[in-house]
Amino acid sequence: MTFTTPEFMLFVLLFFWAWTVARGNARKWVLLGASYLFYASWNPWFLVLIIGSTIVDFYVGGALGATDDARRRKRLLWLSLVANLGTLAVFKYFDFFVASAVAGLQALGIEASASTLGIILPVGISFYTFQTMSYTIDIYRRQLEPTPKLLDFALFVAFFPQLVAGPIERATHLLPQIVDLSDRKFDSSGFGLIALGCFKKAVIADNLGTIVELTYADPSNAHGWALWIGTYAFAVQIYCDFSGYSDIAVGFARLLGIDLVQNFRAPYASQGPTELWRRWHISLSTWLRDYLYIPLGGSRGSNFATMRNLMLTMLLGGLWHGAAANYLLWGAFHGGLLAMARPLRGAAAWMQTGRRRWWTTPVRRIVFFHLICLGWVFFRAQSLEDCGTIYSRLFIDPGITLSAFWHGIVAARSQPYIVFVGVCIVGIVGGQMIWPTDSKRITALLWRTPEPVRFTVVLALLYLAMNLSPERPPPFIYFQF
Amino acid sequence: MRRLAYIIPIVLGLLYLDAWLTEGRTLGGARNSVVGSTTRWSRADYTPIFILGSSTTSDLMPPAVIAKALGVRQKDIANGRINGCHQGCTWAQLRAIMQRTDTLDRRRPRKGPRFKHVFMGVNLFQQCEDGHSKRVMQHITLVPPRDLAALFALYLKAEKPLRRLGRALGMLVSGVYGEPAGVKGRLGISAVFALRGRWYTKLRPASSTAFCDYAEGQTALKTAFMQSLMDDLARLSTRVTLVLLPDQGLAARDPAQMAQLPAYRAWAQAIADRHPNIDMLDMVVDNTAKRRDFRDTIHFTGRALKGQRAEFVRRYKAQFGGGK
Repeated sequence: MTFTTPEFMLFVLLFFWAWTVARGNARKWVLLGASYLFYASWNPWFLVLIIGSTIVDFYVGGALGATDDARRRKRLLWLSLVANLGTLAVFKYFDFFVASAVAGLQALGIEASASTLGIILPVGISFYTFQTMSYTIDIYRRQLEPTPKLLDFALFVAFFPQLVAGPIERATHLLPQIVDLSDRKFDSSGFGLIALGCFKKAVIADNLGTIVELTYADPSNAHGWALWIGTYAFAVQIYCDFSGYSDIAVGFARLLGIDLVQNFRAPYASQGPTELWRRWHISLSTWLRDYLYIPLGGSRGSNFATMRNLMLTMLLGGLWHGAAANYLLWGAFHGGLLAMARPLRGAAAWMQTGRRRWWTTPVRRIVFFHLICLGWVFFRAQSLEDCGTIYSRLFIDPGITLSAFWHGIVAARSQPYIVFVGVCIVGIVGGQMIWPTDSKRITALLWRTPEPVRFTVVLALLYLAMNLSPERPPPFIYFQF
Repeated sequence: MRRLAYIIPIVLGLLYLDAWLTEGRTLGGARNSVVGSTTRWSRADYTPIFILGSSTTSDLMPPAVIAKALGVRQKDIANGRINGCHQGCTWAQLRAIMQRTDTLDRRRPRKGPRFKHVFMGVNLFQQCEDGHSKRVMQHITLVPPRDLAALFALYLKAEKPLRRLGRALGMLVSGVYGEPAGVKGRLGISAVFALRGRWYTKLRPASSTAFCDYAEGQTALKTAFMQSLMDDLARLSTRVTLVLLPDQGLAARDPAQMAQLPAYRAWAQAIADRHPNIDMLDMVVDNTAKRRDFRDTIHFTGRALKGQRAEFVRRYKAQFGGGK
């Protein structure tokens, strides 16, 4: 059951009916019941994991808050980390590590075989595991008091709008809002975010997905020029898909009076890798910064130590996305960009001074957008072999001349689709470069207009999302993580 | 109340726009096929022989061929074909016919059952569930209000029952929902969202074959539709002939398709065996059709159809002896 499916529409109608009828604490039970029902719609057995994770971290958090004994606190923290990371390791990474070890041994000429467990990946496990871990770590660091009510904590972990694909919330931000849930005020601007998110997902991301799927399914036979189009299209597809999901999540939360963090802030306006991670999947990048990069030493040590910390953080960030070598490579690619950017900080600062920034800013944005796109190749390709093939087709042998390629498009009468892809790419990427803002700001501007105007805009966006989507819309990309 | 002053006109305006775009909820290829079919069978309220199924059924056994097989006049046969109409759609169509029959019979009671003989064709791939939103659109467009509860009860057998129910709700609220291609076509922007041709690749991609793998849970909905449909037909018709239709995968002896063939036949036979007046005619086994005889995964070429129709008449007469 995902946000743009008809069953979610039914679910929401029933939920809001129950929400309106309930008063006081009953609202929390309605919300928790709905969140568990939402999660169980994928597989009821997944509930065992999320409830288990909730109970472990609630009691560990409580015990951490009740003791000042440093050794006991450390042991409790380890208990939480082992429980959470152990669950993640078994359900997300076990098969990958076994298969990689066997492949590695075989590459060395050692006969090896092992059976994988064939475990189904529980949806959203990476998101809520990071969320519960941040709770215990914050209590351990004495930045947060443990919540006394299991119901509040269970809601913090399972809050359905952001349960399966984030934003990854911190207890310091979300938990206080959940505690006084019955006093929260309905915020109608949530409708604006929901409509915007549905439009981004159904109209832009899903329709761009056609060329991405076709070119990346068999890159050895795809023309290099088509792969360029597919790669640019994927950059926009994944942005609209993921940020669309986040917008819908933030929008739903607003209807309940809850404010979730902004996950995207015009990422393709970034001029360098450090800025990118302040704009792309902000809740994950700040999580990695606060709970991994800084504990590793951050930028406090030598240049080498900083580069090592950056690389380790991004490798783990890549692995967070999935148990596959291409995600590791994607992480390494961005770790490398961050590491390389450090020695170039002086040059970057020089480019930003004086009148030269008028031309260096757009140039840097365009160049860095292309670097991001090259990183997306690792992310989207289905195997390492495909990555090699795609890079070779992009840069060495496109397999066809540009004019012959264009004649093929004209002969197939695909120019309108190509124009649509081009408009989406230029509109989204160029738009972000010219006006680097986020969905909350866009909705806030819309909400300054007279009520009839915003009502019409919201209905029109939803109508377009319903009718301009493909016949068989694909699921959200980030659900697989 | 102040808000209603703008909400009502805006919603009405959008509903008007929706009605204009969807041409009174008759826009879109699949939807038009449903609407077009009703005009055909609404003129055949007393026609004794009926053909039900999708285009593949109508291709192989149009009224002229059935007339030849049965030795009857062509005007005694009505073609109830709806393009892309799977079992659920045929079930809804029959319910619509039943409602019409009940209304007419109240005015002028009929002697004997509504049909003398019904032919219905099914393809192997139609046994598996199809996630296309137009399926629910076909059901909702056809099914009379009195049978909505029965339809929703059948949806509970689906792999994703809530999705079906949600789509049905969406279809009931907005006529256009369920066939996005319709609005795109009306606005003249279908091409904007359609990638045509194979300009992106060096090679012609392998053509896909229509296929049902009989995975667990994938056939439950269609089986439920078929059983309900056959129960109705057995009651409404003196005779029913369920025809198993060939497709490109079977003609090409595709190993995956051939492996599923026994399950397909057993499935159809079990449904036919539920009633003594239902017979099964197998056009798949020992059919000499080749892969090249198909213009796509399920439709015969014009030339091949001639031979296949003759084969249908031959098989029918061999199995049932011809005659009315």
